[in-house]
Amino acid sequence: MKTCPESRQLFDYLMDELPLAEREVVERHLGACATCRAALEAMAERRTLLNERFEELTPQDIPYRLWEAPSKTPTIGGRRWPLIASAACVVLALFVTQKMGLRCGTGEARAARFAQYQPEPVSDALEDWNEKRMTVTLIQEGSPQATVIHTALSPDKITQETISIDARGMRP
Amino acid sequence: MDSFDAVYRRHYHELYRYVYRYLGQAECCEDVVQEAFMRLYRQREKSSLDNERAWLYRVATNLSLSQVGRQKRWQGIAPKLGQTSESPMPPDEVLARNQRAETTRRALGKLGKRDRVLLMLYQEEMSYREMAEVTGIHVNSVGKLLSRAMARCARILENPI
Repeated sequence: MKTCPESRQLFDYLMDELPLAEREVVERHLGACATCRAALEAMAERRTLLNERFEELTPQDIPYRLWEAPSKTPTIGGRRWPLIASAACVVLALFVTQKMGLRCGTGEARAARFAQYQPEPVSDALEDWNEKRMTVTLIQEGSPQATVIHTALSPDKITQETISIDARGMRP
Repeated sequence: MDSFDAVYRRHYHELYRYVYRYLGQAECCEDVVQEAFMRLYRQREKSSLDNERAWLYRVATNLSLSQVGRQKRWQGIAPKLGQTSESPMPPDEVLARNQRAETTRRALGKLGKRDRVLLMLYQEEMSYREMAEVTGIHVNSVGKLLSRAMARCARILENPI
């Protein structure tokens, strides 16, 4: 290299970021050029100064905090439910519709009725999400009685209350 | 892909050190570092990353910059460094070190955000390519910008006002 390398190249050489071929060319030039050697030395001194000053910013004691993975719970309506409560909800619905032989309505009507009874949060505060309530009213054709099942789901338990009501005038 | 626990153990200390140099306050540091790892944890559930270390540093940098922004000004006060049981220092040396650290922080405060971030990342022994990944700067520009940042910082340190 007959002409001096650019300042950027000298810096990259100092930082060990030059490709090998360029590095060798710069090294040969430095062997013959006092000006570039002086420039490189100034860069190196500056780097040493900064390294020392940054070292003094380093905390002497670094507390180690164990990693706690967030709990994976399924969400319904944006709220987190424990898996067991969600599964219990499904089992409960299947049990009621199949074991009791009741007709809850067809297709869209069933979906619409169920949508009406989507669980609502007690409050929006994350700390108070711990209970969901659901009410399902089951009407049996020809029967004067309807069954109302109130279900309360919380992270660790399910409570259920079943009552019979007068179904006259009610339609599935 | 390494387990998350392995990644956490491998990078926790260096990330904490990086954020601490930036913020200088242990309480904020822990929050920022934990948040960065939490985001990595969630990101891993969506897709794999080519360079998780660079990703972590990018998130930690952005969180630190937000923290500094919330504080409205760069904290010029250096953390008080005390003695440790492993390397006790005489009190006058501790005082001198604290004063130098405070001067260094003030000098960093006079630099632009980009200069400050590049200098911090350099201290983490990152390559140009990694610095480019963290900052979004083109890799061919990193060397030139880092060189200028070092020159500016050294000038301020040599002529503190």
